[in-house]
Formats: sequence, structure tokens, C-alpha cells
Amino acid sequence: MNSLPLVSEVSRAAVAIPAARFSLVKRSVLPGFGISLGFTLFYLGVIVLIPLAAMGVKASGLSWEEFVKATLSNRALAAYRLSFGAALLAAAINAVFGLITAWVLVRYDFPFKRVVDAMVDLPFALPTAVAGIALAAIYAPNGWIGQLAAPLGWKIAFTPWGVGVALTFIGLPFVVRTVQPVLQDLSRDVEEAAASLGATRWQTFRRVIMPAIAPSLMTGYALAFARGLGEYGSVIFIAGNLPMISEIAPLLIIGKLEQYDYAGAAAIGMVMLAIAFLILLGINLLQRWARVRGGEG
Amino acid sequence: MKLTVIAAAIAVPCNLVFGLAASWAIAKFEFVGKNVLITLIDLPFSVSPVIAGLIYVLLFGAQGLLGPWLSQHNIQIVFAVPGIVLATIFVTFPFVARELIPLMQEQGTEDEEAARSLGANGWQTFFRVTLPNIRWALLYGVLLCNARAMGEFGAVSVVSGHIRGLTNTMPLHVEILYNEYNFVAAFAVASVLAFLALVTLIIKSILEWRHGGEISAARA
Repeated sequence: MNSLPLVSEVSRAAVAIPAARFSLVKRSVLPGFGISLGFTLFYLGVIVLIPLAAMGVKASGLSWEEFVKATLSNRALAAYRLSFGAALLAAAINAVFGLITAWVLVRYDFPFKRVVDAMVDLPFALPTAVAGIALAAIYAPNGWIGQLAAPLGWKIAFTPWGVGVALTFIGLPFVVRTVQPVLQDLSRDVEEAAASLGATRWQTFRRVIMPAIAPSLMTGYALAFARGLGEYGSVIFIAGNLPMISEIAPLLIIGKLEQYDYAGAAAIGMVMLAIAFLILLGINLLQRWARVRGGEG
Repeated sequence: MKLTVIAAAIAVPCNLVFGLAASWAIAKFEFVGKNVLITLIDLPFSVSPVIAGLIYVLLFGAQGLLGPWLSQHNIQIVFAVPGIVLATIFVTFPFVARELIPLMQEQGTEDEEAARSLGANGWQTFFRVTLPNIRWALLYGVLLCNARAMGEFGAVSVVSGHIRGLTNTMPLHVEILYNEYNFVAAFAVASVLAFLALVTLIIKSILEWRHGGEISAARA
């Protein structure tokens, strides 16, 4: 093979350190590593990293007392509690019903299955503001569903329940789409083997199916939770946005911005970002754990 | 209205080029820190859209880090079109790259190496070998990217400053009409957006149906 002229064209980064074993980059005959990675890092820096760092700089302009005051005020704590509580609850609901939805879509054939399958992505494709006003209209005391709940003394829209409804709507595709491919790959033989060995349906589900899909279910749960925590567009229309009662954390940031309290907004932003980052880290660890388990099994 | 199209028309090609560059670097080469890079690319997914808007206000706003310099040079970014475009780019940042990276990793580098050894140059290899291999996944990513770009509300709302007729995208217009109790008009605009979402879903389903194998790696 005439590999010499090729090597001469390999990106400079790869050539500069010929001892492949100790270099940061493994040698390759393909071109364009330097320029593509360079552009990737440049673009990532300009669009994501530098602006995020700007928020850190702004928040660090506050003294420790000011930072605590901004991020741990009663109003902020109430907002975190609502955001976390609603996101956890909505993600839990989605974990249960998303799993059932994925199960039905994978295991059974029925008319219009393709349409139902596509509909699952609707909350993802629909602009959040559109989802917000539609949900608010339906769950309002005079709306289609709201008027059924109203006689029971249960107000959904414009209360914390409304936040939960919106987040449940938003999170559904995440669970279904992470569980679905795993269920699809699950061979039915193991289930049949379990059944032939005398396991009941419930035992089969708990002992055979659950361990296989648990990692993807948890990933879906975490994704739905992360999305719910930051969700803004669909929530503000249905939440009512009363401070201390139905005000979510992202709305608090907007409120601070409108009062030109930029540092305070940055401080709350940092808290939420730190949490989002921890969740992302958790997802990655979960996936690694799942891969290890999958490799053994 | 026009602004929605402008923002999407700038944000989607930007992220398309980025997605191609990032997935080429990540899928075709081995280097240290690759997992960190992938995590960073995913970061905009788990950042709240409100924070996405906030960071640009903090960087480019009047009180921001670059604010004084920008106002000296009479450049308006926040509360103007560039800010909306930037926020849109941020929230749609990972879409194309995420679709392409798993697929290109699965496809490996053999096709490209063969093309190179037969004498194709870098661009020829890319356009004749790589691009045909990934075209459907690319289209899929662009589709999702575009849907989000047109529908983004939170991030755009923060950087827009709500200047009617100037910095008003379609989702923001829905909010304004709704808050004015002009429900019929609000739902009319919302219906247009919902229709766009529906069209997106239909094209997406057709893509999955026709070319499922070629984009399936991205769905795992």
C-alpha cells in the first residue's frame, strides 16, 4: 500500500506526535481531524462555554451573603420545591405510563399503530407555548377537563397541579423513546423460558423484564426530570405564577431579569445549572453501569 | 413572523455545519477527552431554555460583560435579532450532532479509508462516500433541529425584550395575544405552529419508515 503520501496529509496534530501509543490522538489515514475538531471546539466555546462562563463570572460578583440571599430566599426555596416536586412527580407518572405505552407499541399490533407511534413525539415537536395555551384552555375550570374536576372542588389549572400536568405532557416522549428500543431488542425466548419454568406473569415481569429495561427506564426518567426542571413555555400559561405557590424556578429568573437584578438571576441560574449538570453526570454513570451489566449478561 | 423564519434559517445551517464537523472528528478519530466533548455537546439539552437566554443577556446585555464595548461600537445583540438567533442556535445546538455521532461511529472508517487509498482527496471522500452514507440521518437531525428552532419559546422570550413588530417570533406572538385575552387570535397562531409540528412529525415518520435502518443507530 502506498501509505506514505497519505500519512503526509494526515492532520498535523497526528503527525506531530508520531509515537501513536503515547500521543493524544491515534494516527489515522483520514484527513480533516485538525480542522473539524478545531471548528467543533471553537463553535462549542463561542455558543455554549463562554456564555455559560459569563454567568459564572456574573454570579461570582456577589458576596457569599448576597449569593445565599438570592438563591435561598423563601420565595426561591418555594420555587425550587415546586419545580423539583412537580418534575419528580411528572417524571414518575411518565415512567409508569411511558413504560406501558412503549410496551403496547412494541408487543401488540393494532390499527393505526404507526399513527399512535408518531403521536408520542407530539409533545416534543409541538412548540411549548402552543402546548401551554392548549393545556391551560382544557384544564381551566371552564375547559373540557377542568369542568369535570371543578365540581369535586379540584382546581387543576392555575395551581401547582397545573404545573404537574404540563410537565407530564412534556416528558412523555423521553421515557417512551428510551425504553422502546430496549424492549424491541428483548428476545421473547427468555420470557417463554421463564413461563415454562413455572414463573407467573408478574414474576416474569419483575425478575426477567424489569432488570433488562431498568437502566433505560432510569435514563428516560432522568431525561424527563431534567426537561421538566427547566421547562418554561408550557408551564407559565397553566401555572398561574403566584409567588410562593405556583411559581417555578425558571420564572423566578425571568422575574429577577425584569427587575434588572442580573447578578441574582445569574445566581439562581448557577444553582439550576449545577443541578442539571449533576443529573447529566448521573445519566452518563447510569449508562455506563447499564453497559457493564449488559456486557456481563 | 418573518423573524421565526430568519432565526431558523440561520440557526439550522450553523448547527448543520457544526454537527458534521463534530461527528467527523468524534466518529472517525480516536483522541483523549472524547467523552468529555460528547457530554459538552449534550449540555444544551439539559440546560433550561430560560438559562440559555439568560447567559446571552449576561454576556451581551447593557450590564453584561461585553455590554460596554458593544454599546461603544453601537452593536445591539440582546433585545434584537442577533440575540434571538444566538439563543435559537444554543437550544438547537446538539440535534444534528446527536443524530450523526452514533451512526458514524457504527459505520466506522473503512469506506473512507478505501476511498482514500483509491486516490480520492478529503473533500471527495466526504461528499462521495460519507455524505451518502449519512444523508437520511442528517435530514432527520435537520428536521428536529428546525422544528425546535421554529417553536422555541423560553430562550427567545428572555433575549427578545418583547418589542412588538421588531423582536417578535411566532411563539412569542402567541403569548402576547393570549395575555391580551385575544384567545381566538392566540389559538389561530398556535394552530399554524401546531400544523408545522404535525408536518414535521409526518415527514419524520416517513423517514423512519422508509430509511429506518439508516437512522436507527441514532435512535438507540
